[in-house]
Amino acid sequence: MTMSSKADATSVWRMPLVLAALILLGLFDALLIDNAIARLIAWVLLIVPLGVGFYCFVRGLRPSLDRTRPGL
Amino acid sequence: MFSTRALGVWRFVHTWTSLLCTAFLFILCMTGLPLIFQDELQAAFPNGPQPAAVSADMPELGLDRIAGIARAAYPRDALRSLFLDDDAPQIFAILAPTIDASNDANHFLTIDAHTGAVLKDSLHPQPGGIDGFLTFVRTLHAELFLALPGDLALAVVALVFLAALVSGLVLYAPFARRASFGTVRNEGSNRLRWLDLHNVLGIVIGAWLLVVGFTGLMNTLSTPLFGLWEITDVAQLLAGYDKLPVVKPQASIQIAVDATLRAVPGSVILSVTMPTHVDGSPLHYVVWTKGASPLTSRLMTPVLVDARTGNVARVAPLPSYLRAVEISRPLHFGDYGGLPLEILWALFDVLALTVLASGLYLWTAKRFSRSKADLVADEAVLVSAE
Repeated sequence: MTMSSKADATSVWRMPLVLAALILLGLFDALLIDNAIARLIAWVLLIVPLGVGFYCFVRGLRPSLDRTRPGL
Repeated sequence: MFSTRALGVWRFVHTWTSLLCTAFLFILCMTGLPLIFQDELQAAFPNGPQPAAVSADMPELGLDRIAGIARAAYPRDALRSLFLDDDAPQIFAILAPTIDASNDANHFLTIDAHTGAVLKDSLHPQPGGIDGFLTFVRTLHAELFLALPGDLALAVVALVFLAALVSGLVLYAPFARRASFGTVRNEGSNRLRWLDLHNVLGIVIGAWLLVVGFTGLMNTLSTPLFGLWEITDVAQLLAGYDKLPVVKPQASIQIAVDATLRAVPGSVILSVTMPTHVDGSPLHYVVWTKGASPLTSRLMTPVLVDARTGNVARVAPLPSYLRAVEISRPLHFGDYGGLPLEILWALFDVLALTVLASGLYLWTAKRFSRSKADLVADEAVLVSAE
């Protein structure tokens, strides 16, 4: 019994890979380039996945249990 | 593509590696939070007098005068080393009863780099401040109060954590493929909702967790690796010197520092160790430098400067395995991008705590407190994922 098809795997991983790329770019951007603009870019890059995380968390905790919260 | 059996194996690995390291990770995440802001906390809750506010053009006294002040404060003791503070114009002078005394006998003075005032004396500690709390938290975070065994135990924890992360990433796709990204199912039990939140938050911060976990593993190995370096490269470097008596320096400390900065241009002076048999050379000043950029800010290079002539005898870059450890440090501490990056780091930490707590809840709910109705409902949804 197989668990996923190739097409499924692509769509499942698209958003996680984008977020992972943003995090890694943000972390290494400020580390490798020592100036204010690089820092600013790093902050913005890192805020995006954090925002997604907190948005999903808060939405998942909303009290209404009558239906599934759809994805992003 | 996984068979049901393979999926079961990955679930087993994820469950038990996570459980093995959960308690440690709670400690590390909780103690990591104040450590992210330790500079700000120390500034907000100072311990004793602080360096005087002076005009920007006021020169510092120089290391030789600071050394003289330290020696004058404890004329019977030997000055072992001077450490320059990165964050404030102050210098830490390490003294001991003799130049070759054990490090356990060390005590230190904190001296204002501009005025020469003695701000703190470790033999006469002043109450208040937050230094004691931060030292407690740092020791717990870095070595669980167990010194080297604590380091090694945390290295094992880091390895187990990385296994939990990888298995969690492997498990993400089979459980997430039925719905769009970020979906939280509410039609089942509470446990189902937390399972989705656990999956979503885990995958969102997965890259950060991998980076911090891996660099944490590197950090736990730094003490044994530095020990390895001391008994191999350093022993070889100092071979032939170690039986010689400790010389009385003829060249000043400032001459040694100037020679070092010419030999390692663009570097920043971290500390100067006087000639000694303990963690140094009997014939040389050991001047420790570090890089000036975020990437190299923790990359140290020791320089041996002949204490009789003031000439650089040897620049001894750290071996590649220690350079890897040093370069990994900023990525663990998140202290290279200003206060905003520290705040973001703390928010990642909070999400990591949520992933940990939700994982623990999922396991306990499944094992201890779920009703038969929950069991049936959850299994129906989980089976649908398979």
